[in-house]
Amino acid sequence: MLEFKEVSQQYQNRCLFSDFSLVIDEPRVLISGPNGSGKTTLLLMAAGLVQPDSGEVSFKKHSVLNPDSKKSIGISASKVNLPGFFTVQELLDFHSRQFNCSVSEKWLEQFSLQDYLNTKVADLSLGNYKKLSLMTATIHQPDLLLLDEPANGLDDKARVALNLLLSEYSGQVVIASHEALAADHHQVRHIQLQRNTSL
Amino acid sequence: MNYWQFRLCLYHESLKQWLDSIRQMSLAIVALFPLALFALVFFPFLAWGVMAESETNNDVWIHTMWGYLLFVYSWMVMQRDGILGVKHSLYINSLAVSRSKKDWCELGLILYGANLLILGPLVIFLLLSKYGAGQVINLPFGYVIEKLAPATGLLLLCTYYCISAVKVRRLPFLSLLLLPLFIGSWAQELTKIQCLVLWCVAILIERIIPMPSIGIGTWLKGSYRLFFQADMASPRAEGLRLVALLLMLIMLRAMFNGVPIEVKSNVASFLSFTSALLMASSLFNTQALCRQYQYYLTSLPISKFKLQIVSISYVMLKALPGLILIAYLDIFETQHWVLWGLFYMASLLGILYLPKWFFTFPVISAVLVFICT
Repeated sequence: MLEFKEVSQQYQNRCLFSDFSLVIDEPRVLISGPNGSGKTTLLLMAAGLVQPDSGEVSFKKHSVLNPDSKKSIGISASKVNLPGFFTVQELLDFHSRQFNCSVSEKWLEQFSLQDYLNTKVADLSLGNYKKLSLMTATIHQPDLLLLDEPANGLDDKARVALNLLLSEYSGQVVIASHEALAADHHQVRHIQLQRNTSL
Repeated sequence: MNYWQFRLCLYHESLKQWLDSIRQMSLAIVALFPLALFALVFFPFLAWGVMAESETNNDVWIHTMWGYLLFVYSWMVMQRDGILGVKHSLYINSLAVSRSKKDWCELGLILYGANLLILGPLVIFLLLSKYGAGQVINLPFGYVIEKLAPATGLLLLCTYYCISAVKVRRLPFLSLLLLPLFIGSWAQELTKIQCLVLWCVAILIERIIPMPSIGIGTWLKGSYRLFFQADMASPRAEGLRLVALLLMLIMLRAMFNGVPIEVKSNVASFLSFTSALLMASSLFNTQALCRQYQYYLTSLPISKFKLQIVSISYVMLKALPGLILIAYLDIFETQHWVLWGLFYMASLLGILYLPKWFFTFPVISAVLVFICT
């Protein structure tokens, strides 16, 4: 269960959230809203990458700011820059080592990334970068998967792979997107954010 | 605007960016050592006299030449992107300009960028040649050649390094690092012409044999690998740090040999201070890397504290080659090593806790040492 408790957050002198509280326990959640409504910031806070000005964010009753909780959270967002100086292979090795897990050959194949293993991350196209970002977010099979505009830049084949990943995924998935959640799942909660804060 | 003006415009644009950094660095240097900037500005003028003179002691000549050429090479490497217009290379290539015109423009920019550093040796060579031409009737030909060789060698090597810094990606690891480092001990037994021939052979060898690559295989793991690969991907900062350390060692070593024994200790203390500051400044790079990939690194199950410890120990490991170089040149005694450790730790603490004014930490510790002793 992901919980935001009385969270306040400003971004570039603009109040995004003020005493914002939300409990998310559905397995699939779609967050939508106009540009600048705070979708990405909400995901970054949920992943413990941005500390709110006040309030608390927890997952399974543990603060997401705790380094140990990172093992149960995965995030793919364009704001999370992947180290561009690594090759794809090196990044996957480094990342899997950090989480003490192995790279899934299946998803490597589904996302057609095998041909780019020796390519520098900085040299990847937008679509391939997105696929790699999805791979790093899911590599350790986190209980909470946070995806920011996951279909951005993906070709048709990769979109099919993404939908397959979402429908097979056993953990909780929270997506911030303008597009509807295509994955076939019986219980999708839709959260609509408004500019200046709230639901 | 013609093609030359366009390329000059691109060059000036790229200069603006790094001139700001140089200005900031110069302010820091002046704040720390008020006379250091004058020393740097006058270094080329002093060096020309030493290098063009055939009577100069070989050891001093080799080291001055090394320092000067290293300085010229680094200066040109820093301007490389601006001279070649790297940022706008696709647009430049799309223009209907002949290859030769492009090459002439780039040569013009190289001379423009090298400025006094290449014009000085050229003027000295022309003056000495004019003098040599007048003397060739009265004096033996071999004698005249011997007199002209240092100035000719300086001009040729200087021109070569200016062009190769911009046009050749391969680093002059043999001619600008290993050869001058090891030739010092037997420089007195060679003539200047032999030294120059040796230098040219080193250049030829390094053009044919590629620089030994520092492959890391798979043994380096975790966060150390992250920092190391980041350095390998953009080695400019570490390269400049190494060049600065080398220049410092070359200049101070030349001074070291010329001062009375009682002053030597002060020179070594000064070196311990400046080299510690320089080597510790590498922590700025790892800190910047952590900031650049802040979100990604935070998403990993590593605490900030652990990452900080790893980055500090990585910076310390990086200081080892510099320390080995100082030990090889045999400049420090025990107290200087202790001082180096003190200044190094103070600089690291400064960078961690007061990055904008980091040098106040080593300066305060230096003042305390001065008061106590």
